[in-house]
Amino acid sequence: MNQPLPPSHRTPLGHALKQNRQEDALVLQQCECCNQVQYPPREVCRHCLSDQLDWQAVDNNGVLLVSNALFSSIEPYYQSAIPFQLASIKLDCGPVVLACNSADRLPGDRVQLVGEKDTHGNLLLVIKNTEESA
Amino acid sequence: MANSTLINSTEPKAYDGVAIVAPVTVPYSRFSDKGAAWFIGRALAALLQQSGLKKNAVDGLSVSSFTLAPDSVVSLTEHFGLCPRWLEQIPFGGASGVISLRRAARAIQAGDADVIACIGGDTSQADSFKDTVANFSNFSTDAVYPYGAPGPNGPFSLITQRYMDTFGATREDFGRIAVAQRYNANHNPNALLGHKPLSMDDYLQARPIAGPVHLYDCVMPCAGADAFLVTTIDRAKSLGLPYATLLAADERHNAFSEDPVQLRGGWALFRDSLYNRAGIGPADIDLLQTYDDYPVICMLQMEGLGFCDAGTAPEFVRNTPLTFDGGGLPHNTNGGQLSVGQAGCGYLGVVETLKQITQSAGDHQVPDARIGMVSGYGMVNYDRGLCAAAAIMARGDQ
Repeated sequence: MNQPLPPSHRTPLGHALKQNRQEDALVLQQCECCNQVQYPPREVCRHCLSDQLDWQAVDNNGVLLVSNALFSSIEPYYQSAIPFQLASIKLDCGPVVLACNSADRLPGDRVQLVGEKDTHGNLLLVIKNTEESA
Repeated sequence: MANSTLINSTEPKAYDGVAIVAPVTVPYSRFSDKGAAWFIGRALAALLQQSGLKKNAVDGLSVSSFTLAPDSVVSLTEHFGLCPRWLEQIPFGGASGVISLRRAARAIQAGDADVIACIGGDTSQADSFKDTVANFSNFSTDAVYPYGAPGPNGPFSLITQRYMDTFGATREDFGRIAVAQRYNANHNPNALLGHKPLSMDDYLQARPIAGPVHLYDCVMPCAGADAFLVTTIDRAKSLGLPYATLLAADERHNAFSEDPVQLRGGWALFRDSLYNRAGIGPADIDLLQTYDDYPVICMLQMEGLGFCDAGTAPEFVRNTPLTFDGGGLPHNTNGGQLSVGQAGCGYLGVVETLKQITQSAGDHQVPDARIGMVSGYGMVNYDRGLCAAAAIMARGDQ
């Protein structure tokens, strides 16, 4: 029997998020008109409604708001990998991002987010494990 | 962002002359091989039976369903052999029931229809919940589902934990809501879990689902329908039907979007105006139905609608009996979604409120209930519910 795969379905904007990924960085949409950074990806700027949106490496520093272990998943792929650590991070540049907390960071911690590809080529935003990289 | 956009420039007019009648429930089941149209169609049949109206007297139809696609409400007109002159579909999750009521009431006042059937109904099949979650919204597809495919449990576990960290709520506080609702459900033969008792120990020892969210904090998606009719008071009286009036209703969407985690919703923005228009305050409410997708969201509604201050719902539920016969604030008096099951997008609370104030709630009747409030909450597009709505209903003159 084949091993289950992670869900790979994304919207066109979700695919653009992956295609614009840069190593060891966080690339999100930034508005050319008002400079606001936004996430999740949108068709127009949530602030000024411009469609002049660039994919830019943004300030990836933020504070971890809350983090939980997920013990249940709808997808068979994740059921072998639970608990999955899901965290909410408020970036200094504005957006709130739900990301993978494999670094086991705690609420109030200063963290950095980067875009990583899983073994199947899907993009995941993750909390950078600064201890390992130091 | 411009907070000035949050201030109302006008107030909604009164819902004079509008009557809400014929609360019906198509009994829930965990799974069904029937389509959503079966549950919605049988709800329509029950509405006709209870009201004594012929099918062709229904000239308005408002429907909400997560499982009707690819059909829409217009498909149902052909399916049911209806020829309505007013048609509405409300896709706002757990706020749909209240908003459907609100839209229908205005249409009746404006003369756009004479009798409107408002129906929330769903089926539940092997993969229907997974399909709903996997394709819930574009933001969710790109920014939530890839992160462990948690469904709504993921974002709500973060909201629950943040609420606990911020306000000192404990699992026992959430348990008080779930245990009281199960007691209510034990008196409701239509509640799917009504035959099972739930103690605080049962609640606390349940298996973990996501962070602080455990099994009895989660609703069970199922098949079923709830429905009511909206018409004029004159028509209700001529039919000899007990009815409720709509004292006030309101809604607000994507409120407080700058809050990093949702600890409040749009209710706070219309609460004072809502009570002013109704001419009453929270102390005059005989029973409250909140949208209970998770107990923490009940707390946000109790706070947002003025039953206690922001952040004090844990203390409120420690000191206030929530059962239908406890003499405190009767809350989710039929057991709510946590014990009845989840189907039909928040019509459950509207229908239960109508049953209570027309004295037809059976074994879980709140004694002499005259004024009921029903709250709606819905649509976790990304990390929070966007829709907030509430209505205050009162027993009509017999």
